[in-house]
Amino acid sequence: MRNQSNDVILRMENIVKCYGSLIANDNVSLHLNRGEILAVIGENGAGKTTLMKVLYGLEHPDKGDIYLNEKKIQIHNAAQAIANGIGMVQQHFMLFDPFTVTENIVYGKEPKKGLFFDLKKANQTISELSRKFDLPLNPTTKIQGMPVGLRQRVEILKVLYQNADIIVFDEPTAVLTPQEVHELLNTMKRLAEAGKSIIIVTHKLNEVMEVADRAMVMRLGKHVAYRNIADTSIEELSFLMVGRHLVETEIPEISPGKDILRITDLCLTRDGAVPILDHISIHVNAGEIVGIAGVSGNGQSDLVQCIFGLQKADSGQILVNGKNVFNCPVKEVRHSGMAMIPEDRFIWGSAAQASIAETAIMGHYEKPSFSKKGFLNIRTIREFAGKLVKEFSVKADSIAQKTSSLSGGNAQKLIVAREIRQNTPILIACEPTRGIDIGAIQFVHDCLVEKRSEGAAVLLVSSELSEILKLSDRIYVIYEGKINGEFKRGNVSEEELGLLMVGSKKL
Amino acid sequence: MNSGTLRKISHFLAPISQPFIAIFLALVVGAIAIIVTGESPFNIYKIMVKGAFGSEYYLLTTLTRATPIIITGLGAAICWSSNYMGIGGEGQMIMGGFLCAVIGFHFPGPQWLKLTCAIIFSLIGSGLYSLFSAWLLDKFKMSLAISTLMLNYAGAYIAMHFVQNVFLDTTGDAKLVQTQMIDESIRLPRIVEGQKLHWGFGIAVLLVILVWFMMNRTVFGYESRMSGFNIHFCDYGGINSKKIMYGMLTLSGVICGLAGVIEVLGVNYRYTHNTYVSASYAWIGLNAALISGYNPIGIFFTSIILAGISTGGAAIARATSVPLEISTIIQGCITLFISARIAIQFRRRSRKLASPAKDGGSSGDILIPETKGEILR
Ligand SMILES: Nc1ncnc2c1ncn2[C@@H]1O[C@H](COP(=O)(O)OP(=O)(O)OP(=O)(O)O)[C@@H](O)[C@H]1O
Ligand SMILES: [Mg+2]
Repeated sequence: MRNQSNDVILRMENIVKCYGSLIANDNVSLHLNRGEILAVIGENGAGKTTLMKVLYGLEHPDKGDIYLNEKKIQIHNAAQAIANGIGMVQQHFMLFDPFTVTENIVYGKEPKKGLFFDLKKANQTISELSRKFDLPLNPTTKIQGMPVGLRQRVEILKVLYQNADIIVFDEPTAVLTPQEVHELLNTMKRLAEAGKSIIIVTHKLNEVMEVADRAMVMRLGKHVAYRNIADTSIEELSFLMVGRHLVETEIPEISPGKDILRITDLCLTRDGAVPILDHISIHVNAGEIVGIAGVSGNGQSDLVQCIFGLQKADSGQILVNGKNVFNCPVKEVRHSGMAMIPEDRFIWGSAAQASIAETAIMGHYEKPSFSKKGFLNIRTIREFAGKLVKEFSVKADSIAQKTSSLSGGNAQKLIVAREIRQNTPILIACEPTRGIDIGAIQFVHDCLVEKRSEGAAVLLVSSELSEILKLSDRIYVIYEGKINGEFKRGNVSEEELGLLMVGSKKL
Repeated sequence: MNSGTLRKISHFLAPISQPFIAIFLALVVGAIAIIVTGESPFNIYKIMVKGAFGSEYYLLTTLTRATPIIITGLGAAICWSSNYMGIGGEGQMIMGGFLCAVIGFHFPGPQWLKLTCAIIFSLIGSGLYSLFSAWLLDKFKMSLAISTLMLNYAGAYIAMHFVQNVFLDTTGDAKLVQTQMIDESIRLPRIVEGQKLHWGFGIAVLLVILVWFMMNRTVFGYESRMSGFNIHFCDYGGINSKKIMYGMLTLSGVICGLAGVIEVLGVNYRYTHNTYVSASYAWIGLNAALISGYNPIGIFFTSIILAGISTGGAAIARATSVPLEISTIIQGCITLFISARIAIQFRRRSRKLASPAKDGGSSGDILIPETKGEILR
């Protein structure tokens, strides 16, 4: 256990933040002890990110105070937050690809020799820093082509370089592979031991149990409880978050029908040489959920993009109900009876500046009830979007608001709702529960199972092993673009899958 | 207080508020410039407003001037809002005007046939002119900004060449490079007898409504707006983004060409070398489109104000010691404020590109500041 002194480094008192009529933070108070790891958990839209934005100066609270070392401070922007020793590990958009690790880290606070940028000193400082905190990185490599885990490490070093005492992580593990998650959690523990105070926002309660000292639970914009991790359990935390006990999804016994989706010998190479997909042959039957398990980056994204027409493959066959849609444009693939929940909700799944209604009708708008002869029927579109939002309990003020104003999980629900309502015989679900709360996960799982009960073929691509094991009737393991094993439900253990996913041959 | 109604009102005003902020800031800068010349800004602005809107004559002159600005503004808005940043409005307007003047005079047959063919062929011509840049972008990845800018010059000189060598008006004694005037019977009638304002302004108003309708109520408009927001989202949704690119750029060329056609039919009755360039209609139109965030109704009002700044500036120069350049300063500042916004957009975009779509989703929340707080947007 870390030697936490019980002195409070940060207090946020009675923070109120409203967006229009919506109260995102309703009198929230938080305190953080020196050297501890505090987990902030809660359902989608509970206001966690908003609270962190307030702390980091990206949003201005309507009411409330922030005390650092018992001294009241004002934070108007990120620069002031940094000056006060508050750092945030950003996940995206903040690194410049063509530049090196060092250049990215020192950007904005470069060591100088006279008037000039002292690159040698900078590199030296960074490698010292990386050694000190045991975060191995080569300061002179370019960001380009780095895996997500390493990029995140650069972000962490950047925060450390800025001398942060308080480090905020907002859903840092959502996009990491299990190995990377493991490393990150260890890093956090080490940082706390070195005296840094850490706030982590996450939906994964097992991570909370592993790494945090204390958890703060938020619901509907309020903080509802604090728990010491030592005195609580996953069950209690999830009950506090959702306000009800979750019922396990029941997966009814049904016998699968004929193969609706059959892929044979799908091949893809990059730059004509490096194989990305190597003779992939899989099929999905009606009334069946088929899982593709794999560490992300082993070709599953490309596989799905090739199936859906977003990328051209080199050779192979993709049969949908006997019709070949190999390398057809997306529109044709969709018409043949396929829908997809994309792996990234803000890059593929929605447009941040579009309204909720506009995001909701993608793929639908050409149906006769929404448009005739090229003219949109705004009334039915609004009704439809309103219905989706209500049925799938997307927390939103109105369907006219921008998609970017939805919390991550609610945006995901909207996308899931849209694709399920395409009512297609095939649904491809990529990382459908990434970054969403346990209540919503349950909900999405129920949706997928219901889809299966209706006789649809569901292809589930997920790096979350527990999800694959729970839902899939059949599992393919993918490793380096090849299928490395196929199992029926119940015929494989998590350990075996884990080994196959990292390339071990079939036992 | 009822926050719902309040929100509705502000929602309605939002597209109009943007241009006003930019223009207001520019007027503040202009005021400083006026103080430097030793005059009182209030006085000068009063003269300016009077000279732009103060009497029927001034108002109608301003509206006449606003007409091509509105139309080229709409043309720019539809391609910029789908993220194709063409700046070829001027060249397309020249094509439209030149073809209209030449065909309207030289086409054989009765006047009605001349008119019909003039309109049809000049719109086709300007559309094709813009389509050419789309093709260059598609086939050779040639930057739209560069190709459209070059085609502006090319258009001006092609037209000049033909006017000078083939269609030159040798009847008058003026040394201008211009075509002969089209027949009186096929000119656009005036709205108010004895004033400049012609029915081209009515066409512009109609076009504002049509473009608004197209952007907000049609499938094509939906698809192109989504492609402006996020091209990956479109690909994934099954939208053919090439179709959008060709369609929008061509349509934008047709609309800008119409601005030229209307100038010929309603104002000059002929094509004169350099008139559109020196009045920079298309550029002011682009400004109007940018400050109003591509909103057609915003473009309408902004264009009138921008036109008013020009006509009002002329009034100042006539009545006081403040030089005509004051309106140039104000226009320049407006452009500057817009460019600031665009620069910010660009920076944001390049930052997005800094993390490739492939790895790493955006599942963690995006913690960069929201778009909403941006300057002028
Ligand atoms: N810019 C905004 N405009 C309007 N509403 C907003 C805005 N940002 C957030 N909200 C709303 O505030 C609420 C809280 O959002 P927040 O992003 O803090 O949730 P969260 O707890 O981080 O959820 P998640 O786990 O899904 O990321 C949500 O209902 C969201 O829709
Ligand atoms: Mg969040």
